[in-house]
Amino acid sequence: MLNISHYTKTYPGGKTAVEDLTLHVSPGEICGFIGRNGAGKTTTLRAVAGVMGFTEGTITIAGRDVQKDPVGAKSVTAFLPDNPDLYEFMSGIEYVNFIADLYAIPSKARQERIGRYGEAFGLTSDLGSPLAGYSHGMKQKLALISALIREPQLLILDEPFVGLDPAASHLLKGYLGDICARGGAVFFSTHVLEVAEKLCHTIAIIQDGRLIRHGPTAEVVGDGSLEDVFLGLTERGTAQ
Amino acid sequence: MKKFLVLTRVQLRALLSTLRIGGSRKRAASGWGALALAAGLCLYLSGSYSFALGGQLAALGALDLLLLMMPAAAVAAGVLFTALAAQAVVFSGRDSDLLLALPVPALTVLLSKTAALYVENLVFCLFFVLPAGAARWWFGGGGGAAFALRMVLGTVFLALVPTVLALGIGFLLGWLGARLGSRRGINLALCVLTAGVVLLLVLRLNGAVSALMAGELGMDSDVPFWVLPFRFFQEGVCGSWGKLALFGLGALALLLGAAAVLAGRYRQVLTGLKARRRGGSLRLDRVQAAGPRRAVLRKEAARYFGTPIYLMNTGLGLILLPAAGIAAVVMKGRLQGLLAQMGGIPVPVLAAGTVLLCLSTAAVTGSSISLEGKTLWILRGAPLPAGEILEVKAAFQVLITAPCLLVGGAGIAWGLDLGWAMGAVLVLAGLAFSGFCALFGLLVNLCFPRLDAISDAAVVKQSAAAMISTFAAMAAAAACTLAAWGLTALVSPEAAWGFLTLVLLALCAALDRWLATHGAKRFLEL
Repeated sequence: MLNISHYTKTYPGGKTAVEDLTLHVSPGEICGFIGRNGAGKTTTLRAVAGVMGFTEGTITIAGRDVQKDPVGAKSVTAFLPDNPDLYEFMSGIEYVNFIADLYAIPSKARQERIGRYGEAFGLTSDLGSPLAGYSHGMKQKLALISALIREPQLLILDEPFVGLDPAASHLLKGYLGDICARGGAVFFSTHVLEVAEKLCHTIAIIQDGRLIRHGPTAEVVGDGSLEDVFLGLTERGTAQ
Repeated sequence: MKKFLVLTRVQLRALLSTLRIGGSRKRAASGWGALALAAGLCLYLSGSYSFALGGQLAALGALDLLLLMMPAAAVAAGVLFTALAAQAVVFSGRDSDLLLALPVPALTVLLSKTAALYVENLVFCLFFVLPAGAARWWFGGGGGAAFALRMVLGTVFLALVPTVLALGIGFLLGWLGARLGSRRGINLALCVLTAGVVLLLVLRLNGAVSALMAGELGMDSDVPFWVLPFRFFQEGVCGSWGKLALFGLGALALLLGAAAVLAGRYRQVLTGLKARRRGGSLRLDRVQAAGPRRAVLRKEAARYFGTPIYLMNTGLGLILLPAAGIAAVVMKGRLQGLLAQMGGIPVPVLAAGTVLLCLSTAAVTGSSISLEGKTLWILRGAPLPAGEILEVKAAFQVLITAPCLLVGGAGIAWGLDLGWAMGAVLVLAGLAFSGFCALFGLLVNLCFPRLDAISDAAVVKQSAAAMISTFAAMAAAAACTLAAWGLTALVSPEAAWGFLTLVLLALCAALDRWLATHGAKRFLEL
């Protein structure tokens, strides 16, 4: 589903954020992307989502090259940044409808999906309200609804559990499973290692812009915990 | 006091950072060059006006009136341009939670935010008053170091007057907004009403100054008492240190008094604006589908009509255009009498030039990308080519211009008896010019984006892109008018404007090509 091959991102000032990263996420797979602050997680996720250009390498989503066919790649993807700023001059329903228009979702389907996800996240009664009055968690839920109604083949999430209440977190985990069950894939970053350990089929650990470990969760974790593995790997990397 | 100074420094840095023209040295140089050109243009315009008026007043032996009329005009312009900004900058802003959480009184926060407003008014006053002082000196009204010092001090005090007035209007808008809810229609109606009231006050001020002038010339006149502060300013600057000090202390006391009164309700207004409001009942069966381009267009419309400061700052020319058309039809007889006496520039050239000047103030796209701010990820992640997104943004400006242009153009053509052919050319030239302004505004905004400003007002009013796109459009309107005037020596006005329409369309095509290639790339790199 997602193929990242020798991806390198160098900023105009000359700083290399990510270097020679190669990663593969198969259909039906949830891949957790973990690393310290500033390791290059968000830079990678933004490049995969086509929101940011990159200097070297290729990224393909369902066979579509992110740089050569950006519209094709984006049309099967949904991306949510860590702090989704939304249009505060719109109401919740206007925003979701706007996203549905961009992704050409037919009227009947969008009505059914907005109703279903709105009800599940307990946001239906607030959809008519202006976004300017939404709390952080409500905006997060609305952004998730706008991503889920697209029924994406690849869902890219940057810290999706931050700001969500426990019920919404539980719900989201179920929906990630549903996407995989439909043959899609999920690629997300998180600092909540327990969630990554329980939820993800594969784990990718990045440090200082380099992928230092990638594989099935059971293989990466081994007999210990993901926290032990992560701290061991990153401290060793820092010492080197 | 120390806390006030620290907060004021932050606010002024925020103000200057809105103007910041980042990127490479070349881009920074070109940006600052364009801004300097704009400032020079303003100085030239106010200078020409001051010197022309000074000449007439000197002939009547009432030269000192210049220092009464220009400060009054400065205050009027300052209030007109900063009243809505006061609501957005002082009584709103993304940093309000942070500032209110600090262990400083609300009065300190309010005064520090007012400092940004004061700086803007000071610029207006400097542009209006200093050339007036120079004109007074030029026509033999006297000068010298003491006069120059009094002029500068007087201008520094004068800027406090529009700041107080804008603060009051901004508070009223913020308070009403907090009480009535953040519904788009109410906000919009309030802003239109405010603009109307401010415009009415400006007209009354103008009438009062005329009355004062008549009184000065020995004619019977009814001078309103509220013009008297300007008299204090005039007499102070012309030699009375005592009156200057009284004017300054009075203005300062007014500002501090108003701030002290408003600070009591400051927190209430800010938290009221942020309070969560329930919308109307939701009916999912009313949710209708549209294509991606139409969705972006609708989003642009929602942003434009839902952001009063954006609408009022770029929509004044669009309101004036149909108003001018209707006025031309209503006052057809009087206008033709006036035009019969007028020599110089041919009427069709003047008419089209006026239309273009009105259109040049509608620099909608000059702030369109900066206003995306932190929501830019939504459009960049959308399955729509960046070039198409930019085209839709430009199309929106042309679409909101077109009806105003049709009404205004038709009215002007009818009222001035330009004939149907010139009327049609006028509308076509206006459309081509509007397209050029829209595409050029996008280019400027892509070159000088401001995505992290603390408020929409800062982007719309103070960003380099907004200023450059507006002044460049005005310069383009003036250039077109001069070119048409020159061409009428060779061909008919219809042919001259027809030719200029083709030139504008060619420029549109070149700009469109740039936006589809380099512009789209730059959009994705922002």
